[in-house]
Amino acid sequence: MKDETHGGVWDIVWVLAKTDFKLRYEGSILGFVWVILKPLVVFLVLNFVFTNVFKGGHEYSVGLFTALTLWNFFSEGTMTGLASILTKGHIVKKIYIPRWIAVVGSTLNILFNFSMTLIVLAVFYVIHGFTPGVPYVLVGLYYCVLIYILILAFSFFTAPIFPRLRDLHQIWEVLLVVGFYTAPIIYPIEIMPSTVQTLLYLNPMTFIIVHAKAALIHQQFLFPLHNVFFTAFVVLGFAISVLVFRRTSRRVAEYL
Amino acid sequence: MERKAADSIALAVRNLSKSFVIPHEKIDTMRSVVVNVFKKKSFETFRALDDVSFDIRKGEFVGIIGRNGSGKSTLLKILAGIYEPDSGVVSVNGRVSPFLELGIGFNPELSGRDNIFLNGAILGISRRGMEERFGEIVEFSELSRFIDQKLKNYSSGMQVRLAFSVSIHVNRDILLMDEALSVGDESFQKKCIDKFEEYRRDGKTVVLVSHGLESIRKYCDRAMLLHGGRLAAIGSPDEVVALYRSEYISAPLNRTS
Repeated sequence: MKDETHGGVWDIVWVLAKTDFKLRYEGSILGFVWVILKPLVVFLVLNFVFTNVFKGGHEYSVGLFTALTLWNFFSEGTMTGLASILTKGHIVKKIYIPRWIAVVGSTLNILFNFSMTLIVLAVFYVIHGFTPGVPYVLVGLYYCVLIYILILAFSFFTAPIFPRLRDLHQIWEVLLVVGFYTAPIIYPIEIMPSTVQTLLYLNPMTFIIVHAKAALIHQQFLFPLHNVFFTAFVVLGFAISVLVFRRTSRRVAEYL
Repeated sequence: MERKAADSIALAVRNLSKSFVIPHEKIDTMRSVVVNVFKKKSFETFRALDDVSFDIRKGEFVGIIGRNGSGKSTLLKILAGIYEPDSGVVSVNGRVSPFLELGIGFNPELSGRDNIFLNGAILGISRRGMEERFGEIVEFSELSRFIDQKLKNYSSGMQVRLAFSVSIHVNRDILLMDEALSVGDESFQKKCIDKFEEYRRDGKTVVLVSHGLESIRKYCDRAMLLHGGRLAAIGSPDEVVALYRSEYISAPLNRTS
């Protein structure tokens, strides 16, 4: 009975992601170059200022660029995911597609852009003479996967509520600023007193950035047990978000 | 034997009800949440559908008529799976293709070509299926010269032609249509009607919402009249249309509770 020309949900996910990609830099001259240019400019400014504050030379620069890249992924991913159902509202309220398609389709584009900046990051490592071995690169990629799961979990929680509570956008913008300064992006975490360090770990990106930098720059795999706990925390959060999303997304078409 | 009976039914709807809560003041920012905490809650419940039951057989053409706000579109949206019913059961036997609107997902900044693939995927055609049908779709729309131009440069008639060409290539058993016949010029309407005849020959089930009473009488096997969210009549199109004209067109709609 099943006609093979009937597409699966992934056909829709794919075409939505491709459309977002085409539209994002539509009509701009530099187009896709902006994906790389924007974080690069931020990095250059921060690097110029803070290499005078913190010691470490190349090592500081590489750490800063790594942390910034991961942070941008998280921040853009969550912002896009939050608005995903609203921005796909013209589809969601006209035809039945599983609602998660809007969330995944929107965030895939961010994931793709992030992959491109990872290439720039890799070049940057090589230029500065940092060549972590394959296992440590894999550890780094593992944290990227964790960030994506965090983005999806956040989006599943917030995207169905957002059409009814637009303040979430402003709230999240503020929290992202808080998150940026409470994660060891500009500063190394070691300069903080230990009590403050503990507080900073309340920000999930702190854990990811500290461990990713340790693996990629210092070729260290810190606290394996903590990683198990952290992964469990992320996966559990994701699982709960999926359950909540199932309930909250059912009536979302009525509020668009 | 019951199984056999169910096989001849395409859509079975039992005791379907749906209400919308309409706040008198729209609350969608924190400020209005805070402001409204101290106010008496002010909203009304709007019963869009009230205990509606019916069966639609396979291969049947059914028209739904009723005045604005009588629940026609809500019913269609529930059948399409866009809205959740408050209570009641909808059983669907076969795959549904909802044409509540033509060109869902169309983006003016994309080319005609991209929009065909986008719309096709949303309507549930696989990428391979789209590649196979692309030529046919473009030919049917008579837009091959403009296919790589952006949609925003199309006239509205061209956009409708493009959207319609994609939608008729979605091969489904049950089709839901909202006012599909009321758009486009005469030649486009002719195409719609030809397509209808083809669906009929292929034994497809069509549920059509329309204000065009004449087309309901002409094409439908049965008509259904909704009034104030209730099923007021179901039966032969001639009788239901006549009833609608004589009794309901000027009747009040009151049904807030």
